[in-house]
Amino acid sequence: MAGATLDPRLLAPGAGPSPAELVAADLGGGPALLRIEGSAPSWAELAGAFDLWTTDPAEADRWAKGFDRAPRAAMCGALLVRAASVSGDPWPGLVAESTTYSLLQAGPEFREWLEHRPRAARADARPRVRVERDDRCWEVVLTRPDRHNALDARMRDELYVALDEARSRPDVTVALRGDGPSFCSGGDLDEFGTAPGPVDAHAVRLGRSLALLVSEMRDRIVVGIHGACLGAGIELPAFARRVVAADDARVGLPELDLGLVPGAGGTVSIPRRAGSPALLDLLLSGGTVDARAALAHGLVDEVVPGARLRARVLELARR
Amino acid sequence: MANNLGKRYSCAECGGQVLVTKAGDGGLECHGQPMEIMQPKPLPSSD
Repeated sequence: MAGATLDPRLLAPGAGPSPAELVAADLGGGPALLRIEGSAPSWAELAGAFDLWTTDPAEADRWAKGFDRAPRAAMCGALLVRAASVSGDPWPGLVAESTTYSLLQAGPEFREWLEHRPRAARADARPRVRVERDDRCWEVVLTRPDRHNALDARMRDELYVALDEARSRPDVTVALRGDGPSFCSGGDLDEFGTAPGPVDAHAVRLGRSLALLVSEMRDRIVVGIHGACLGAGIELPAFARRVVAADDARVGLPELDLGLVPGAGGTVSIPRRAGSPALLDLLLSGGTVDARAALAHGLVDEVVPGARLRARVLELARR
Repeated sequence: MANNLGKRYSCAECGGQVLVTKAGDGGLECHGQPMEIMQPKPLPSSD
């Protein structure tokens, strides 16, 4: 591969005034390293010219490491974020994200991850979703606690049916949460690589899009998240107008480790909530942020003690 | 009973199906019986 075209564009710390100390990464190409000396461009010029910037060399180092883990996926993520609109109809962004995701499913970074990951087939036929309906508020609960509510095709289909039914009932509000130690640890890794090919996967992803459902119901769905909230476990909640986090919540986007980008709508929902840099920061860092940091970023709207989460979500949903 | 946009209903007797293109109140009947709402078929993983 033509490495130079994928290298991150970094602005290294220089000796000048504060904008020259800017460390920024442009994930779409260009020279590998730019060093600013002498008169520096303004902050506004730099912020507009780069995907990410920071004055913290350690943070820049984390981004660069993320880029090195999966440069193709990082580049694709940055291109998606640049092309996305942060308001209006989410559908074009969801189509673009799914297209990119499928492209990466056929790429070398995902293939390499598949070859090295441990194999396990632990699928079972237990229900993945429970719906408790009262007159005006439906409590929709993910019920795969032993797997941290990993989102497999069965859970996607059950959740789709539940949310689609609620969507068609304008008088109903939804409280969405998860049983067990975590809200949702993301896509079920055991199913990765089982899609019937990137093109058909694209059709399934968009034809049964949980992201679109949550987005369409955003004003009348409240999501309570706790424990591991990874990948889809934050991408889907981020579409809702109101997200409550328990104080033990850990939020992250691990997709880059798999050579992928977020595929549950996160490149649309997270920039709209927290800004495009927040999405790229989560993606490139690959780690998790705690509930307080998620609140500071705008990824969630409030933090409550874990024991209060369910009551608070129901209280908000019943308003 | 509300008929929801985009939902499919089928007749247990003849297997006939209808797709709702305009939502509204009322029931759907075929062969003298209420038609049943069809659940979406399971789809494979997209991962």
